[in-house]
Amino acid sequence: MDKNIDLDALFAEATLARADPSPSLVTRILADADKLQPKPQALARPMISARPHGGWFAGLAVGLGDVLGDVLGGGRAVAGLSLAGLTGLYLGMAQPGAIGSLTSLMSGTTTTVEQMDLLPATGSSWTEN
Amino acid sequence: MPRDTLSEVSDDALLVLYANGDPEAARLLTTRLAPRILGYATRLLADRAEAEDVTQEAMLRLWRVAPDWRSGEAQVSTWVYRVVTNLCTDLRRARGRRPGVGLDDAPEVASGGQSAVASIIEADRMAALNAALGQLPERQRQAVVLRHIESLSNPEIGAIMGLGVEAVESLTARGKRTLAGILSGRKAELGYQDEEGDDA
Repeated sequence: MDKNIDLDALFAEATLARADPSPSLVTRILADADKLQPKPQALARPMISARPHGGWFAGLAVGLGDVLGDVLGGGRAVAGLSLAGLTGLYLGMAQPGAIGSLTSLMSGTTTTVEQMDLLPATGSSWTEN
Repeated sequence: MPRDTLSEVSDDALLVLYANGDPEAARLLTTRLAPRILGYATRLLADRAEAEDVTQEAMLRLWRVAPDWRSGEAQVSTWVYRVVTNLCTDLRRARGRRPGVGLDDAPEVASGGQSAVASIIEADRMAALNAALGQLPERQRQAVVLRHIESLSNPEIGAIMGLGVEAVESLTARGKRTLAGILSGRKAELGYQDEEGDDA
């Protein structure tokens, strides 16, 4: 009690007494919120500003390139796919060459593999009399 | 995000959600903060219409700061109280020294769920309290309202008012003493005389 006034009780009453904003105030606050709220931005596709000069074939090629790019996932994907295709073509067309053994490749030495006759006695069986 | 899910989200997180474009976050933040701001501003300004303008302005500043809000650095409520305190100080300075608020002029902060007589008695008490608060020096009034009515801690009040904890304690104690002195002559308006009579 402060000088016969229970200030703490009075404060407690004041704390519980809720100040309700009027509907018009809430409307104004929410209108501000809506106006200032950052809006999510859609991912915009880069625009092709102008077609190259060069007739209908050039236009068709660029258009086809755009469509392929969209379908396959963009220019980088098309480039990667082209490179893989060309590499496969080269491997298929190139003449086969001698392939050294892995050991000689690693150690720099050559290995001689001798032939061994595992069944010498059967050799005569193959000879026609 | 659904409202049920948002109801337990902190003010801090709600502000981030608002900045990310969640429309429900603004509604929930308004529901949480606007009554507190309005009550605080009403007690500082003793003018309901001005308090509503301050509430709208404080919320507007909150919406503006949302995209740059650094989560975890400060409490949203503390930030808002500081804005409201400064707005009220500026407003009072702009209109000059306001004469002491009489009981008839003092704003009431509504409460619900009571009988008509009880509501009137409580409204009288609140009007008397607000009138007495209006007679306190500005800094004392801010400290007393923040500490005893808004129930903030001394460090929080220090952050809002730009003071150290000891200065807050001193302001609050002096304000409370002054308030008790003012109200001691108004026991009838506060409804204490009848209660004392009943006890006798």
